[in-house]
Amino acid sequence: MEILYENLLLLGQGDNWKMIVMWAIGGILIYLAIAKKMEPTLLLPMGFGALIVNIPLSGAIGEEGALTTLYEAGIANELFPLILFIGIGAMIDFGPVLSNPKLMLFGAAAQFGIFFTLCAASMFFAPNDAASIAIIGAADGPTAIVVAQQLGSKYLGAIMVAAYSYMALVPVIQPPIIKLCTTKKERMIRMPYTQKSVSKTTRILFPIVITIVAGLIAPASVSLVGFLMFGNLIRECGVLDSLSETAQKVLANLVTIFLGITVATQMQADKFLSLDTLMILGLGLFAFIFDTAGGVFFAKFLNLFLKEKINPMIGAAGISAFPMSGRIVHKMGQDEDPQNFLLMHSIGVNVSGQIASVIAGGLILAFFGAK
Amino acid sequence: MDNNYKDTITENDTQSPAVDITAPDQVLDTNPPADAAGDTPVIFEGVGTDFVRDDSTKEPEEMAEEEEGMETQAITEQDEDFTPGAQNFVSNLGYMGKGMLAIFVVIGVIMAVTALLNKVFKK
Repeated sequence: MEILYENLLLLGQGDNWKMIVMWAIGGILIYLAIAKKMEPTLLLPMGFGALIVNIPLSGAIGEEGALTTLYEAGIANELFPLILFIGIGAMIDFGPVLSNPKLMLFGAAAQFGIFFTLCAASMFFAPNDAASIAIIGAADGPTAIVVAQQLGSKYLGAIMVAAYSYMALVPVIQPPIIKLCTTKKERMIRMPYTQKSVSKTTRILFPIVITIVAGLIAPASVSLVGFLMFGNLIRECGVLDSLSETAQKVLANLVTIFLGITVATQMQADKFLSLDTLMILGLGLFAFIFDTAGGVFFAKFLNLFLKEKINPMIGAAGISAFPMSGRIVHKMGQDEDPQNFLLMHSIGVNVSGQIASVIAGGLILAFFGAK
Repeated sequence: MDNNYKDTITENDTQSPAVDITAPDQVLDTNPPADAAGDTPVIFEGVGTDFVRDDSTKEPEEMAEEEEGMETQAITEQDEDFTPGAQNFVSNLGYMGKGMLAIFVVIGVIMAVTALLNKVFKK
């Protein structure tokens, strides 16, 4: 009882009241994960981790704390997000983009928000932090962690919360932006889909070739692209079914558990509760908005030159929030015209966005010098 | 103090003529007197080069901490050099241009390679 009393007194001392605020934030993340089903795989561990690290004299952090050990083992050296990328690569089917490679252009265009946010964030933050904040626009958690860690950003916790929260909020963020950037007539453009088969050899060679190409052009992206493509190769080779299944399920889930709860070490009250965190959340939203707008306007630009028009909404699917963004675009198309099937196009663009976001991460590292 | 330095003195050495290198038990004390702090810097003469040896041995953990401190210092110095303001938006527009161009170039190459793969390995 005495220890309880002392710890309660500690909460009232100095800035320790902020820990109680972090309990509330942790609680909100847990609520969003369970009640609203928003990215529960990450928001729940992060929310609970935020509780653990914000208890006075918590044994989970500190020099020999379990979370500190996990942080050093998997986040400080970027190991956890890279291993998670193996699982993500094993889950992705590149078929839609292999059958229509032109869709990759929209994946590239939808990374505009990253670089535009870099310019905006640089008005308030030092270059390494601005670049780390900008990569929230990649809409890809592992990429955000790797880049932020390699650039030595001190805002990893806020960046993670922003990245995963906005990924979960894509169904809320994207539709109004898409409607603002397009006319009803444009949203009703039909895009007929003709299925083209892709040979198994192409599916096997694709991840190998992409790793080499991306690595030669942007060496800083090799770890990101390489691990993603390794996972995909395990899936496509056809002789490693058990490894593929393990990567997609057990490995991905295991690393996700450790990743979520360990990132919470960056959510200690003194680091997290600041005006900077609010600004980061704002800039993260800015990045997502301009990613969406960038993809849509690129499609509209292409339509100036094309006889067979593209539905500009598919440009918005180029952000890496897979497969949510693709489904949202398809649904919006169906809302305007129930006979309009955009799914295969939007999923193809969505998948290419995964590749483009990883390349963007590599370019950010190349520009700002990974440590 | 390490007394094995006499192994490095050769017969040809003339800078310390008083040294009798044939007397193995002779201890050469060329060190200056201790300073006010009581530390005696160890200075070797007679081998052609004056150098100072740091007697303190550092544990690997200490050296790692020093390196981490230097990295933190570098990042802190970057932060200290940073001046917030709208001028940074303009100065970083170059990165935006280069970044978007680079992404389109990489994606363009990937598209070309994919089209080639599809053509070569057509089902």
